[in-house]
Amino acid sequence: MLSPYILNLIVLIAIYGILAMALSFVIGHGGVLQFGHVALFGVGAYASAILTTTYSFSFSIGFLGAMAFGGIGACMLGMLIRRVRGDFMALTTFFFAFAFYALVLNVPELTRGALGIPAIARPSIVMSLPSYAIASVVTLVVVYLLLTRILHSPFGLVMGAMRDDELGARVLGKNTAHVQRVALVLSGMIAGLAGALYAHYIGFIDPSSFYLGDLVIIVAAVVIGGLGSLPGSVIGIAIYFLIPEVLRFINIPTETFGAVRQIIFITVLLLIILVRPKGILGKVLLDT
Amino acid sequence: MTTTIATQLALTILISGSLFALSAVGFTLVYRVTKIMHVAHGVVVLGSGYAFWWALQRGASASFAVAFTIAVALAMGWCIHTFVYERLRTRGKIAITMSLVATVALLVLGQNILLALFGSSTRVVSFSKQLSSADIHTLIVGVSLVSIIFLGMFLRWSRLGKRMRAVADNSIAAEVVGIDSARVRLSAILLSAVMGGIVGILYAMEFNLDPSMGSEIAIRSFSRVLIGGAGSLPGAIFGSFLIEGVEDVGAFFYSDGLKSVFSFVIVFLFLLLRPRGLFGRKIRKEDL
Repeated sequence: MLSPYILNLIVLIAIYGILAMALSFVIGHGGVLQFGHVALFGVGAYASAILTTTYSFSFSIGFLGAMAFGGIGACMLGMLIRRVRGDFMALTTFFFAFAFYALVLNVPELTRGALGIPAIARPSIVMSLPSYAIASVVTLVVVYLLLTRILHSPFGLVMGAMRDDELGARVLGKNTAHVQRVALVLSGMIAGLAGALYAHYIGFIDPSSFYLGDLVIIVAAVVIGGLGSLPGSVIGIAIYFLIPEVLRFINIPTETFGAVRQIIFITVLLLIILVRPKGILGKVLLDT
Repeated sequence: MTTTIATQLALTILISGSLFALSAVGFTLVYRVTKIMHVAHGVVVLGSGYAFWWALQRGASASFAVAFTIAVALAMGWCIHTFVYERLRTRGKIAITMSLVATVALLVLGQNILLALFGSSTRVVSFSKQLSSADIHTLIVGVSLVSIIFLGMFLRWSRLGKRMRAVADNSIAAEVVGIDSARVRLSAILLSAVMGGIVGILYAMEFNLDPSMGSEIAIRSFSRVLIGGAGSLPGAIFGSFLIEGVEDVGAFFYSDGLKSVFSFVIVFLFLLLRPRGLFGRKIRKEDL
């Protein structure tokens, strides 16, 4: 049997891997740079946590609610970026992540603000660590298969066409704005699901779990793994979670450990952007 | 009684408004000339604040500390420009998207480096022996407004300023008439770094320093630019006072914690109703 330490790593890589794939789906395949997914992840986590603790609904309602609210959040994000383009659009999504953080911090009636929500239970069938690991990996695989399936459907082909040449796709009569919105909502639902998995695994969430640090990590994982490659994003996430294993050989004081870990990962990101912008498994380069 | 509160409120708006207007102007200048969303400006400002604190901590005189800070700011601007922005530029079109990922990554990288160097505790620059708080406030408003006016005059009348505007409007045409656009871009980023250094010093005198403030400074500057209109200097200034006004009046009547929520609401209203901002030109496809 695997040790709890390794199982913990597997669960985290699976959860963030799902999130990174959801992001890769819109960035790499939809061609839309997004920074807002960390907020959708948070929406899912908070939705499931509040539904199952404060309102004591069942876990299935919690997970479905997380997906629904993730989708609704993505809808709102889609509305905000409807009229801005290019880098302004991407920065607006960045803004969205900050707005979510500020909002969660300031509605303590619902979210308990900075105190966070403690004691979020796990569903009884996946109470033990190995079963939770299996459940997360299964979810990861299901999400992967679902996304690949969509990418090979006519809808996914339009997404690819849109990424490569939006004007061309529109000339062929494809409703690119609609495709973009649907893809974003779908990706938001998956991000919400990942959030619910996270909340029930860790058992405690507070606004700082869904902030700038995680925002950059998932975007970095998608870019490092390679745009247009779903497995690549999971590899990117795995690299991030394996950095501490390397750092163990160097003596770093615990208070700066998190900072050093992020410094290393972001340096890798910058090197990838400068030296090999396609990333590890990437197929495409993002235009404009 | 009411008049004193009103004056107090007006003063707060004036102080923070002019300080962040200067920061927003530095951000806009780089965006206009290089077409890069200079999110890393937040960390240039914060890094300068820390440099100022560190120099004073070491027993340097105030004037030496100011000189040291400006040197550090210039070094940061130069490094960001040479090692990241210019290298991405040689890659052509993909660079626009990737430069946004890179600049956000630089922001988080810088924050983490500051965290690793100086720890997470807040740092305070204290001038209370030499200067009263009224003096500091006068200094902030005076220096910010003078710097902004200086910049406006510089862009309008100086040779280099005219070149900057030429490159901002059309870099290819500027090259054709013999302007070295690479040098102009470098001078724009260095000028913005100097202004960032000034903001950093003033910021350190008025507020406390803590490593997570970089993103807040960046997001505050960006929201002001967005409301004012992309690339418009008067827009950045008006946007700054508008946001500051709404934030401070809102914080006065409701609660201090909701301050950032108010500014997000205005920005989102602008995005939905008037995405080009107060002074922005109509955004055309070929500008992106």
